Amino acid sequence: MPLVEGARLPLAFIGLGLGALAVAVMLLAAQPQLLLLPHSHPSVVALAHLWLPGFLLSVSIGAMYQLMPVVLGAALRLPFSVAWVHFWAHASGVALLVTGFALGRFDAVAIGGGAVAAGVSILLVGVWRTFLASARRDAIGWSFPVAVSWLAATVLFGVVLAVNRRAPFLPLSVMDLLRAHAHVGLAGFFLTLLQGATFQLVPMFTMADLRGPNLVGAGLWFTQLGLVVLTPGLACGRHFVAITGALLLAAGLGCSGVTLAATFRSRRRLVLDPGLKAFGLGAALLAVATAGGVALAVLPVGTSLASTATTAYGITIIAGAMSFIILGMLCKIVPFLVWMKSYGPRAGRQPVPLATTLGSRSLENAWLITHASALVVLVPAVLTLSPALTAIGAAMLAAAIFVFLINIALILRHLFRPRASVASMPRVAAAQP
Amino acid sequence: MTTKLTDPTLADVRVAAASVADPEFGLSVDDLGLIYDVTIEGSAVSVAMTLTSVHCPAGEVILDGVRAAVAAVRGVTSVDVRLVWEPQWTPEMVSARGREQLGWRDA
Repeated sequence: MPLVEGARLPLAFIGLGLGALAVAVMLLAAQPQLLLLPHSHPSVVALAHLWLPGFLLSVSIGAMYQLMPVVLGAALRLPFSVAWVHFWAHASGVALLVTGFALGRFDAVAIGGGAVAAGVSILLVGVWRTFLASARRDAIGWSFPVAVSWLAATVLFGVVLAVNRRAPFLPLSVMDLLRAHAHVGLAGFFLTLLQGATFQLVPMFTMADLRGPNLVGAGLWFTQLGLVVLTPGLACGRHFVAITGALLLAAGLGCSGVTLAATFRSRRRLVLDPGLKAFGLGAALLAVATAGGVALAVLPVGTSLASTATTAYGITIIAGAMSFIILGMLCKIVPFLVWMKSYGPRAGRQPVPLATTLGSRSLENAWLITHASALVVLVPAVLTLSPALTAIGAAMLAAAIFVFLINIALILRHLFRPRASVASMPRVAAAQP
Repeated sequence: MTTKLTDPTLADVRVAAASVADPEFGLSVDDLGLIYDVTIEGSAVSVAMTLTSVHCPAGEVILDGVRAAVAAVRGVTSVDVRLVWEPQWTPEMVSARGREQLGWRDA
């Protein structure tokens, strides 16, 4: 399977996402008090959109455009020119969304939201067409169209929220609607995608056996059932329904977690590199956040305890679990794409470096340790409402991302200045700590 | 068929193919156990090989690399690299040296 659009399209989305992440952590380092403000504060909403559709979604779309045709065994059923329209619609849409929220300019939010929605529509058509053209119908295959359908629902939810804000027509709490919108996006799109793609990528990167393929399917479909129950429960403020949905979703994640742990245990590549360690840490934090989410569903909304606990939950799942998983996978995907583009055509003709040697293992380790340390500071900081600790945690997070981006820059440098030759084929990279 | 002095040897072809490595694991295609069979008829070489997965994203690059490496062996005039899926590759096909490099517990 060739690189999609010469890797330019996936790398453009990934670059956009990392740019959004850089802005987000700089903003957070400059204004750490954002983490202590109410969740509906315009600057907090702007930060959330910078991180979610800006960083996590952009990177996920980039990875999806490259990975999905490989996993489904079918060429992308979307003209590249249209996929580039998606990129520009998404990039401009996110920029307008974020600045619109930050400045209270809801006309900009509406235009930005419309652009993101147009982009998601393109993705929706492309993913479903590719899926229908493929023969793969296991849980891994299904995760792509199901995830992107939840993404479309998230965008639709966002549009309804925006319209309802301008001209209220729904007799529902704005905070309840926001919680539902966030969960459809986070659990519907990101988790669904992870519950499929993980079981393609982890065995491939660790030389492991996929253990319990039936549990992979159970995990995916329990999560879907949980979402179908959780979303209206959250939106309508029905606690019992929301708790039932959260428990079903937790059961789905439990199935996936058990399978992932068994798959990891079966690996032949014993020493995990920082990318895979980050992925594992993210998965563990996801389990913690899921337990926290179920507990949160029990807490009465509107209390100060619920508010601080929700912030800690949000940080754990967004800046922790999801970011570790996505950045960990980028430690594998970006070097691979760059290697394929710069060195793949030379393989067999001259000695070439390995994909794992394009960046710096030391920088990857430094990022992982600093990022994890930042979380250890940030979560108690928001729970105790400590401005000083929050500032320290935000600065540490910014430093961690800075280190990560330096490493990415080192890898991308090979696109423009590939190594002329390598003395001999490097060995034992797989076992490097 | 008579063998000429300039005809490639099995060892030469194996060494050439082994210069191609999986970019992620760093193991040569030979150590990974991807090369199933090498046939030499005069100056024509036929290689039957597999990939670790039908979804291997580097598959085409690896196949093309093996083709180029074998074509560069002295005396080779034609190379046919065939992708086969039987028997299906399993990690048990990794060589002892490959297992050692991976830190595989059964090494």
